[in-house]
Amino acid sequence: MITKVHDVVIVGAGLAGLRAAEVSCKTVDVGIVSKVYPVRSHTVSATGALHISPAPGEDPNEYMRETIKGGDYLNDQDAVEVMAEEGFPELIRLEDMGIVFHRTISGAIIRSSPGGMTTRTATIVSSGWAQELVCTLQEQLYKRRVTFYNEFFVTSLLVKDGICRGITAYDIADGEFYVIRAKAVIIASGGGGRVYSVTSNSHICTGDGTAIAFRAGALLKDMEFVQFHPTVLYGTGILISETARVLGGYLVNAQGERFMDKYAPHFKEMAPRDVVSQGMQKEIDEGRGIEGKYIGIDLRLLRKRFRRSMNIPMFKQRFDAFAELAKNFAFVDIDKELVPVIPGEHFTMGGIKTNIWGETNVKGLFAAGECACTGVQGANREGANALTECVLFGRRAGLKAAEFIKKAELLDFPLESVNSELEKINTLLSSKGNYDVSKIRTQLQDTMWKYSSLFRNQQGLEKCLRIVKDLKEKFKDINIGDSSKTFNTALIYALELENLLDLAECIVLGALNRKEHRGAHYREDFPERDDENWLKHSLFTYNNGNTPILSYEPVIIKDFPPKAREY
Amino acid sequence: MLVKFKVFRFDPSVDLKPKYELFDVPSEKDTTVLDGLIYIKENLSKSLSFRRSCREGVCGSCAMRINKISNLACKTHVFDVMNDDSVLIEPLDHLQVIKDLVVNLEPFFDGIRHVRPWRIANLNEENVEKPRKIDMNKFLKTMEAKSCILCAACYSDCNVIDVDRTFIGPAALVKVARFVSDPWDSKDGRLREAIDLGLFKCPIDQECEIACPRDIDIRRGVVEWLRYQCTKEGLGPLPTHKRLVQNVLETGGVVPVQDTPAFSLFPEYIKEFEGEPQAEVILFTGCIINRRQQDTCRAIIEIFQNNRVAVHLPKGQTCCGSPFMRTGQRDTMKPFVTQNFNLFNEFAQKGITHVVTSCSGCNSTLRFDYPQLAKEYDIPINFEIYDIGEYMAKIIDLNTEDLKETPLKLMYHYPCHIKASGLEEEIYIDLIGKIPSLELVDSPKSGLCCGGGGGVRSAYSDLSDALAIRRIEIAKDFGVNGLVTNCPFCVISFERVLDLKKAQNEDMGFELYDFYRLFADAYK
Repeated sequence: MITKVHDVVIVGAGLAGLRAAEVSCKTVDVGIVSKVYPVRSHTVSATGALHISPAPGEDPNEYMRETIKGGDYLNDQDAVEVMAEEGFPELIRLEDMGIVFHRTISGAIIRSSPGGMTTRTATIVSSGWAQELVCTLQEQLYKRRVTFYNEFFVTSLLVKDGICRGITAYDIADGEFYVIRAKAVIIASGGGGRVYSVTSNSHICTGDGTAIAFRAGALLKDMEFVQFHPTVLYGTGILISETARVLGGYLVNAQGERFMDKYAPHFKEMAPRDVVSQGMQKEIDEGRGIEGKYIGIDLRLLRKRFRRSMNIPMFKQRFDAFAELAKNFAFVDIDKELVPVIPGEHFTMGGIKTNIWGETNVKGLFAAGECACTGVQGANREGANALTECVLFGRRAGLKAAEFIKKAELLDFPLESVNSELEKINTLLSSKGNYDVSKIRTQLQDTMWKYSSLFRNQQGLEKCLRIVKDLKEKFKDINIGDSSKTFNTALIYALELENLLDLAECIVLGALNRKEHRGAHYREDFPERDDENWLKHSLFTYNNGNTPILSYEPVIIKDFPPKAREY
Repeated sequence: MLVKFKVFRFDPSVDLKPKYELFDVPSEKDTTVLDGLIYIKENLSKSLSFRRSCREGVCGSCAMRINKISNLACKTHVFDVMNDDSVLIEPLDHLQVIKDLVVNLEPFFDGIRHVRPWRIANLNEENVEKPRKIDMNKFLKTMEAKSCILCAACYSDCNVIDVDRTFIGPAALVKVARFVSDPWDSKDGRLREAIDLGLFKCPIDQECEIACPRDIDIRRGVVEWLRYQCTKEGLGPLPTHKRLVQNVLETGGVVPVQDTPAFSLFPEYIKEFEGEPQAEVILFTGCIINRRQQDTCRAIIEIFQNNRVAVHLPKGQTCCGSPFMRTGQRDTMKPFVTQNFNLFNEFAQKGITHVVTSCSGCNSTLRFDYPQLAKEYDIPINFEIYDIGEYMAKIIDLNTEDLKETPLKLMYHYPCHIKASGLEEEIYIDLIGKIPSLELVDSPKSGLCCGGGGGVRSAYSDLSDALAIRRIEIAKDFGVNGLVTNCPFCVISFERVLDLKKAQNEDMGFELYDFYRLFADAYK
């Protein structure tokens, strides 16, 4: 066992983690731990769109109103205010670091409005992939003295007396076990999309940070709110970005009908993601899917429509990106054919409960990005708000943690927790049980997709919860099939599965109890929003592996009281 | 159908040496190599280790060698790469194996760190309140370079790294180009640093480009572009490359004259057969064939005569300037482009519009660099340019009846300039295959650099020799008598090392065959 010490340890090196590191490493000693190299993080798959709202002289209220309406009024409005206030200065900071945002011919930043919005506040990075954000921030850290722990899997948080004292981590390359002590820990480990079988998320999105924080006593919030993106490729789940619809791509069913008129007469395809996805799934469920299985997105006329704008690099780049993805992964030509898409898991609105400074209920523990739940996304995230959340709240968590450690002491760590983690690893390495990791994972993903995705009901969710609990039991009797200490991915997959199971249980539990339809959470047996009973956040407390304890807290409402939500 | 995955396995903590394991993987049209590996991991061998993350070609985790060429497993469909229902899967090259398909990436990322991948200009101090206005077209180069995902596929397939570990590698040079081209950065020492890290060591063989899953134009867009920036900043070209231009200006060619030049040996118009020619061509020999490889020139003329093609050999042609384009001396090109293209235009007025080149370097230069330059200099293009092999295969009716038996076992060496001209290897393999009783062994698809391109021969001759020797050794492993190639640069590089080895009494027992001489001899 090797012990390391830092002022701040960051778990996760995607956009939020790197942003937190970039800002905190200027004043304190930072270690950043990630199970993959930073540029392999899931952030890189995003299109690279983020809201910059508002520019000086513009009214921030419209952006806030639309974000909150998009979130079906579950958003904590103090957090939305942060997004509206800090976006613009952040854009300039990002450009200073080396990121460039797409410009028009006259040199002004191109801003557009994603689904469910009319304010033109979404910008896009010049390479057309958020890879540029991750790469640039990694390079900023190269410039400074930050210790990278690449390909280290964090197994637990060391928490004693309600104070976080560091982490335990497993070096994937050589199997060495680490205790990394710190005065503050920031979790920025992303979402857990791999809970579902159909997801746009990377293989690595297993919600590890959320699960370890949960087991260490951090409260989770709004876990039942999971976003299903309308357009992931049928078959692979690879994302066709919302830009496709922003630029005029539209959805058709088997009859060639542009069906979104029915579900959102005004916004049509440009309604928020929950509305579009639910509309698409209804079409498929009612037998109007193409080949009974999917919906087509029609991009055939786009190039023609934008032919006069092709001298603006953004347009050509976007079309080329769609064309490449569709050709590589669906074997279709976007200029001639419909692209087959279905709704697929995309984003976890819920996560570790934090305030607008990334502070959790555990002292010294912070969280930011998709793994956190500041309440900013409400019941449905609006397009381009994820990366904005990562940079703004990543930065805030970094600043706050750096401030926090000035008054904090390096505390002793609970050795018994370290020993039990070590024992867990060794048990898994020598496991000889009856169940297979991949089979449990597949069954979990299929079950969650079947009963706990777009449309949910009491009966299905009850069954789902039973199966998840059963799988948790089976997990105790697994055989990982590889005892090597050298780059043992079988072990990592097992540790990830443990995390997925804990998250799945929270999602189902939250969904089972929330008897209403709000944003992405749609109960067929309670198809209306119920502000009287359910305008509140769900909170999940770890219960030693038993069913988590569920409680509720009010939504922070400031200037935008709930209204009817029509698109 | 079942596809055989032949997978590299090695756990250094247990195994003494690597082994290959065979797995049957059910595959369909849309099955990717990554899907196959995941299938193996879940069903056949739980201990198989590989990296994967996004599975859509952006994160770079799953770069590995698939049938000896590095690529992303998630972007590669099994049906597109399999040979006889099997696929060979190996870890990236040039990086130490941690386990199975997982390599230690630290040396690769160290290279990236080394080039200071951050803006040196401190924009923060400007304190802007609004985003800067800028013409996006000024960022096009930066944008292209930014599309690099740091997967290390190029590093793995780089021929130079194979023989010279001090070379920083393609990805780091892409990173340098990203910052040098950034209008918001200062170039401050970057180009000097790039030269020290081996900018001029790249023989522009483009194997990195083939590997690159983001299709970055590494050769022209990065290496040659950076070299041109060096010239503009007064840091390049290297002294030896400067002398090449001097040579041409003083003597009319890049290389010194050995024996009587071909232009003095042969008349300006050659038609030795009776009757109507099936075609009439202008032969652009290039300096090397004119000045050093007169036998090759003779062979070319013989090939054309045997095929009833009349040949014009205008003495007014001059060096194509390829070595200058390759070494960043774009600004010296005007006299060459003007003289050569004006000459071709004169012929075009007489109705002779087919220009054939015997040197692959000239071909790619005339075909890709000249049109751009000609546009700048306002020179029209009223003719077509062909490589001779291409001309033989595609334009004329090739006389195969008179080809005599030539019992040799050879391997075709596919020159990088032919590749750069967009001409496929198969054209030449088919042509050579027409020679009776000549056995042509399939060449591997990587490690194919003679070391002679990109100005490397003149600036780093040891490196160039090492590359040539490596290429020969790869071929020798296939039990062939020799390599056959149609690029005078390759011929020089290989002949040079074979002679060197002979002089050191280490005869490699290997021959180099010039494509044209081989073909002309077959007509005798």
